[in-house]
Amino acid sequence: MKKRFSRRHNSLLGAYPWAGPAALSLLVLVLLVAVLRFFVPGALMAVATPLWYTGSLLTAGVGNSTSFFSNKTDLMRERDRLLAENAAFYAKSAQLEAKVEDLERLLGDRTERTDAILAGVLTRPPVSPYDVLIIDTGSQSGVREGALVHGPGGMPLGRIQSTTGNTARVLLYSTPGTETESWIGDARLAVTLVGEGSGAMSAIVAREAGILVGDMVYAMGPGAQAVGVVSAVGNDPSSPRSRVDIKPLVNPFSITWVTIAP
Amino acid sequence: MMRIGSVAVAFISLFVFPWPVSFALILVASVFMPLAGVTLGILSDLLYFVPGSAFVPYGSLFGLVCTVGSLLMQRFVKTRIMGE
Repeated sequence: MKKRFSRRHNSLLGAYPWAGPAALSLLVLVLLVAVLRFFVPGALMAVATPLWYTGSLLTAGVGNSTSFFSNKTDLMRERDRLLAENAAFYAKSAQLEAKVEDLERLLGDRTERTDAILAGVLTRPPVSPYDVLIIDTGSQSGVREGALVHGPGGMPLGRIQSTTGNTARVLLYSTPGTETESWIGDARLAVTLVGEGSGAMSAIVAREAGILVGDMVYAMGPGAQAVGVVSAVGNDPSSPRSRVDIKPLVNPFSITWVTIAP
Repeated sequence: MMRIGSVAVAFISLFVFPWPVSFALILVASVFMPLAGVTLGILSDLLYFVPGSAFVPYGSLFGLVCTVGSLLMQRFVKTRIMGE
């Protein structure tokens, strides 16, 4: 009896004769990339960096072109809101300036030069599926693993997880499961922040602690740098503890520059 | 052409688009070329995964699921439809 052979002899590769070599080439390419990642990490980043730059430029371009079509009324409203906000900031700035002058007169000026390293962000969530930033400065500029990374206004964001010559990966504090010691509220209540992903964090506090929505959250340490604000407080009467949800002051999806403590 | 195009777009999306879009494109690419799912998934983790960022490398896992799903679809579902 004549045996029949199906033309589709390999489902892994499909029906086309060129698909097999193409798919295998792709797999070999990825294996090569894997070898590069683990043995020559700088080479992978050198190849990927131009692609990330192009991606950032394209994203910025799309954002600018869509803003052209925005509603005029919305723009006017936004302008008015920003003017009002600017006036409020101006008043606040003048008040703080006066306070600084008073304090300097009292305590003296102890401003010290910082040696922080400035780095541009190549890619960030949500392009990255993890709470990881890839920055364009690496060990050649003095970036070390474990170094603290700050965002705009000196807000602590995370720590350097790995470096190559010209790039580094930053693991954000909001990474799921990551614990960070912090303070909440004006009373500086000590809590452990737990990362929830996408920039969000949470903490468990006693119900009687009096934590309110809008309370500031500070990184534990000198200077008490603000990292987020309380966005929701759980109110379960059957539990002696409340879950506090915290949203970051800076959206990790829009960070463009960071500084790294040497 | 469709196969190469879908794989190329999924590859580029890893550097440009948000990850849900990239993963959707990987799913589409794996329908046309099953091996592309696991390959692009691994590539995604090679680019972005660092120890401590997640319990499991989601990209590789998702790619593997896409490849297996695509293979099952091609081996069983299509055969059944054609046989009916």
